[in-house]
Amino acid sequence: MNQRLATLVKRFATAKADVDASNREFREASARKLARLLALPDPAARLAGLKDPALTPYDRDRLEQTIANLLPRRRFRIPRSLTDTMHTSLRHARYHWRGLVLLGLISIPVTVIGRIAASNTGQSMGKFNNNLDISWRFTDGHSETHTVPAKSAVVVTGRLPNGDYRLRYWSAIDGYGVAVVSPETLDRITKF
Amino acid sequence: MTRILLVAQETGGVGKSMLARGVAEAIPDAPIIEIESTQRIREYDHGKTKGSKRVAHFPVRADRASIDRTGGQAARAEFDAVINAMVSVTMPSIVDIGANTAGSLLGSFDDEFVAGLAEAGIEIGLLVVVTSDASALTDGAKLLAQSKRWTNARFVVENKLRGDVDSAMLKKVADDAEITMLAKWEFEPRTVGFLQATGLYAIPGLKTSDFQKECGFSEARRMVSDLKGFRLAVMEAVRPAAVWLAS
Repeated sequence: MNQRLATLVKRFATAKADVDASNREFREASARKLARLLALPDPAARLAGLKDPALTPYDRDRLEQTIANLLPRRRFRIPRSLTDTMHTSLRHARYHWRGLVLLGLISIPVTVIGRIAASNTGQSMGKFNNNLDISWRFTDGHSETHTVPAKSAVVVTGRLPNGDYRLRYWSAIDGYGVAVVSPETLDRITKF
Repeated sequence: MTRILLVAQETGGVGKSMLARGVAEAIPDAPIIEIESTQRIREYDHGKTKGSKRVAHFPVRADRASIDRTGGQAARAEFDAVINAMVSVTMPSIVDIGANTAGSLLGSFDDEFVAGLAEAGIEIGLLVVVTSDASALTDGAKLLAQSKRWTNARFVVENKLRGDVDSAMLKKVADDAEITMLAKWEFEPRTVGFLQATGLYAIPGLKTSDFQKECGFSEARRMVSDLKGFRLAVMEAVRPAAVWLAS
């Protein structure tokens, strides 16, 4: 490398170092200015500091962020994704209404049948302690007092709003019979 | 072997003189030949009354209208002194060719002149400055094509002061010349005034306190930071040409 080329390389390196030093000084001064602005108790004074040309863009952003943190939070809004989903669903329903009607027609009887099945399914099963005379109402509508032998099974099918239990009992002659007893009676006559 | 770097563009206001100053900053002992209607590069000899000067100014008085009317003859008649100066250089030299002059000057480089340069052991390099202006691109392409026969190295600097040049068009204009770029800089009015008055020469020694009294601490620091950054950017833009010239 000749002398002139060596001088050229040195001059580029010096120019670069000069720029770096100048930028460093500028950044440091900006950081000092930012610290002074952040120490101000008055938010309005900080806001005015945003226009200070001594701040670097990075420090200006930081100051802006601290001011933004002092402001009241925005009121809650439904996330855009949720409203978008609602709009999409409504549009979908508009375009596919026949399928939705069919779905409704199928789901209604399925729900009714499900409710009936659930109400007729026993919740628990016990046995009578002694031979007891209980008035049963059978599926054909008639009521009749039957003596239930001890140790025969009884099924609790549900509970009424007043707290009484609904029992179901099977008779080989009359079929299923239903009786309503109070909780105290049920405790006394059955063993679960 | 002595090398001469011509900094040229027929269109004015593209930053030729600033880029010539960038080369001058990279090679501090390179003499400068300035071909302009009025001398612009004054900072290197400022206040110097005795001894040889770094900048030799050759005024070209022909205006655009007379050059067009005479097919370049009006300007060509004034090139004798410039050409004499060029063939007598003994050190790597920078030639800053002013607007409306480059086409006529380079057009006057006939075979005899080129042979004379080779005989004198002089190599010529050309640095063309282009911007996004159509006229600057067209003139740049013409100068590069015109000089292909007799240049030993060719360089193109894309000055983005008026926006980006389409990269495909730039490659087409540059042909095989090495392309570099000078980004657009935004300055405050005082900074522009300082650059116009003193170029890049005084920038390395600048301190914030030099401007503080006039424009306050913050603006002074910003000015110094901008000026130092700009000087480095200009030097980087002409680096390949400067390295060629100094080699």
